[in-house]
Amino acid sequence: MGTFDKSRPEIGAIAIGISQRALDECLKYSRQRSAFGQPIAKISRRSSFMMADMAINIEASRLLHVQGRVVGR
Amino acid sequence: MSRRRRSTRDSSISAFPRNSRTRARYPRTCLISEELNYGCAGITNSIAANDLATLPLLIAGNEEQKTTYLGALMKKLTFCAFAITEPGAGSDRCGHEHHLSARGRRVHHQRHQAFYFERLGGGLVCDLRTSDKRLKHKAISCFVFPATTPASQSPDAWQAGSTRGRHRRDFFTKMCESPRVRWSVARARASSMRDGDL
Repeated sequence: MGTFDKSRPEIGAIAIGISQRALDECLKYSRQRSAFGQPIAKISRRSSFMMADMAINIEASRLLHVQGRVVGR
Repeated sequence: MSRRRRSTRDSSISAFPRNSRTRARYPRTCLISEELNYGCAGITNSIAANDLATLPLLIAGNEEQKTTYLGALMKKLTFCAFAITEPGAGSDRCGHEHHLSARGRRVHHQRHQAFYFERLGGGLVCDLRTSDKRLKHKAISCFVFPATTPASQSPDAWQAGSTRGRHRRDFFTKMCESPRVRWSVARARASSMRDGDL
C-alpha cells in the first residue's frame, strides 16, 4: 500500500494538467468562435458560467492535490 | 529527465539533484507531471504509465524481482540527456526506436546506426544516431551518456581519433550548419548541464 502514497498524487497531478489545458483551450475557442457577429464568450452567459465553474473546480482540485502531496510525502 | 531509479523511490518523471532528500523531491515530481500533461497528455501518460508497474517493485520488491523485471535499471544503463530533431524533420523521425540495451561493454541501439561519437567535457559522451546515414531526412537522435557508464563505450571506428571518425567529424561539422542538428545537440548539451546528477 505504500505504493499508493507515491503514485496517487502523481495521477492527480496528471488530471490537473489535462484539466487546465482543457480549460485554456476552451477559453481560446470561446474567444475565437463567433456567433451573431460576436465571440460566444461575450454573448453566451451560460458558457461563461460553465468555464467559471471549470476554473473553480480546477483550482480546488489543485489545492487539494497540493495538500495531499505535502501530507503524503 | 529520464533517470536511473535504482536507489530511489520516485517515479520516472523526475529531475532532482542527487543529494536532495526524497521528501523534498516528491512535490517537484508532481509539478513536472502536471506541466508535462498540460503540454501533451498522450506522451506523458506513456511515460508515467510505466510508473504504475515499476513503483511497487522499486518500493517493495526484493533484489531478485528487481533484477528480473527491471533489468535495464539494475544494470546501470542510463543516459543523461536525449534530443531529437524537432517536429517537421520528416517521417523518418517517427520510425526511430530508442531501445537501449547493454551488450558487453557497448550500448546497443536497436535499428540505429552510429553516426558520430564524441567525448564532451564534464565526463560526458555524446552519441549521435540516425537510421539513415545519408541524412536524407535529417533525423538524428542525440544521446548524452556519462563517461563512467559501463556500457558507454563505442567502437574506435566511430570515435573522433580514427580516420573514419575524423571523416564523420567533418561531416558532422558540416551538418551542424543545419538548424535541426544544431538544435538537437545544443538541447542535449544544455539538458546535461542542467542535470544536477552530473
